[in-house]
Amino acid sequence: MGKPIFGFFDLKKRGSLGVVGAIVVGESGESKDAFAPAALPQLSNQRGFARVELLGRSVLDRTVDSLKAAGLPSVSLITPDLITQDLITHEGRAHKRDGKVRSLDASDVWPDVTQETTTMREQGVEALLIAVAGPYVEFHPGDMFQFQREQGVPIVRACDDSGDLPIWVVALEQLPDGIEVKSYLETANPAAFPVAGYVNRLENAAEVRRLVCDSLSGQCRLRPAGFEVKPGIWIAPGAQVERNARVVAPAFLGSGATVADQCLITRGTNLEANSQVDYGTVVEDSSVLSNTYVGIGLDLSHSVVDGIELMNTRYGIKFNVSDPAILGRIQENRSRFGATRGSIGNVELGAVPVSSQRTMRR
Amino acid sequence: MLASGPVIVMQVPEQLNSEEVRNFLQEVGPLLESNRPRIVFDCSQVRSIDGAGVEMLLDCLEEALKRDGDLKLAALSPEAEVMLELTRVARVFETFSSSDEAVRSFNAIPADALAQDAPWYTPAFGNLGALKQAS
Repeated sequence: MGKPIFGFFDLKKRGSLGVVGAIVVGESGESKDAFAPAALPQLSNQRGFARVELLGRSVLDRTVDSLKAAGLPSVSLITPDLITQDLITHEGRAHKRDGKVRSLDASDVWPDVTQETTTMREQGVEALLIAVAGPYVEFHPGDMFQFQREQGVPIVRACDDSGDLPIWVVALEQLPDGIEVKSYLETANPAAFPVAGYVNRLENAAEVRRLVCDSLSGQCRLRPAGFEVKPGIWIAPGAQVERNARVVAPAFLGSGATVADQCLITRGTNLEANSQVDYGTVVEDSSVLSNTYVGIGLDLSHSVVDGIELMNTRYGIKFNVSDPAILGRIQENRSRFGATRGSIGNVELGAVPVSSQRTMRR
Repeated sequence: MLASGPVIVMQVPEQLNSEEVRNFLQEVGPLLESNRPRIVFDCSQVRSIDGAGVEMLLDCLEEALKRDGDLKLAALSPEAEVMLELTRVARVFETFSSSDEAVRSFNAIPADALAQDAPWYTPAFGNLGALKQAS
C-alpha cells in the first residue's frame, strides 16, 4: 500500500481497478443533509469551511485537483451556483477549463448527482467515488477502489476512529436502476473502509485552526499556496507587509493580503487573499478569511474571522461585530484604502522582518 | 473609614451600540456625578459591543476614577469578553465572575489601608467580645 495521500498517485498503474470516476458534491450550506455533521458551521454567506480559502485554496478545490492529479479519467464537481462562483472568483481559476470537471447550477445538487452517476455508468465507469465536501481527508483513492473490489461489495464508505466520513465508492453495475443516489447512500449498508491518514472534519472554527496549524507545521500534507520565504513563513504573490510590521513563523499571507505598520502576525496565523490588518494590530493564533478587514490597534487571538463574523475558539462562540472600524468585509479586488489590487502585485519579501522562530502553540 | 455610598449594580444592555449607549448613559450619568461612585456593570446580557460601547465603558471608568470612585465589570458574557480583549480594554477593568463578587470587592479592606504595625497573625480566639456576647 502506498502512503496515505489524497492525490499524487497514478490510477493508470493500477490496471486491476477497472474504469473509475469521481463526483465531488459541494452542497449549499443551507442544505440539511443527512451526511453533514450535526454542528456544521454556517458562515454568513452560507458557505461551509470546506468552501472557503484556507492557506490559499479551498479544501473543495484541493479535493477536486487531487482527484484529477490522481489520474481519474472522469471527475465531476457538482455544486450550487454560488459556490462555483466562489471558486472561480477566489481562486481566479475555473474548474471547467479542461472539460473534466463540470459545474451544475442547482440549489439542490443531489438530482444532478443522480443524473451524473447515470451518465458515467452509460460511459462505462464501473466504480464511482462520491465525496461530499466537508472534511479534509488524506487517503489513497486507489486503496478505496481496490478495497471495494476485493471485498466484492456494492458500496464502501470511508471511516476513521471518530466515525463515518462522507466518502463512498459505489459499484455502478450493482446500483439499482432508477434509484436516487442520495437515498441509496443513506439506506445502503456499506462496508467500512478505514482511513489511516490525516482527517480533519472542519466542523468548527477550532478544527479550521487545527488544520491551518497542522499544515504550517508539516503535520499534514496540505501545503500553503505560496512561497516559503523564510522557514515557516508562506507568502503568496501580491501580499504586502509594511516595513515595521512583524511576521513570526509559522504564518501564511495570502494573495493581496496587507499587513500595516506596527502589526504583529504570529502563532500560526493565516491571512487569506485580500485581507487587511490595519495599523498596530496583533493577530495571534487566528485565521482571517478572504476579503476581511481587521481594524486599528486590536488584539485578535484564537479566532476565525470572515468579514464581520467572528468565531472564537477559546469560548466556542460566533457573533457579528457590527462596527466597521473593528471588522469589515472588503469589496473584491479593492483595498479598504481605495487602491485597486491586481491579481499579482508586488511582494516586498526583502522588507518582511520575519523571525524563523517556530512558536506554534497547540 | 472611608465615607462612600452604596455600590450600584447596573445591567448593561444586550446590544451596546451607539444608540443603546445614549440611553444607558442617561441612566448611569447621574450616578457617575456622585461623590466616590462605586459602580458595577453586569455584562451578562451583552451580546455585542461596538466602538461606541467600548468608548462608553472607558469614559465611565474615567469619570468614576476622577471622582475617587471605581467602575468594575461583572459576569462578562463570552461575547463581551472577546470584544474587550479584541479592543485591548479588558486589562483596564477589574472584572469579576458575578455581580455579588464585584460588590463584595468594593467592601474588602484594601491591603494598603491596614496599619503597618498590625499583627500579622490571627488571634487564636478571634474577637473575644463578640464570642462572649454570642454565648
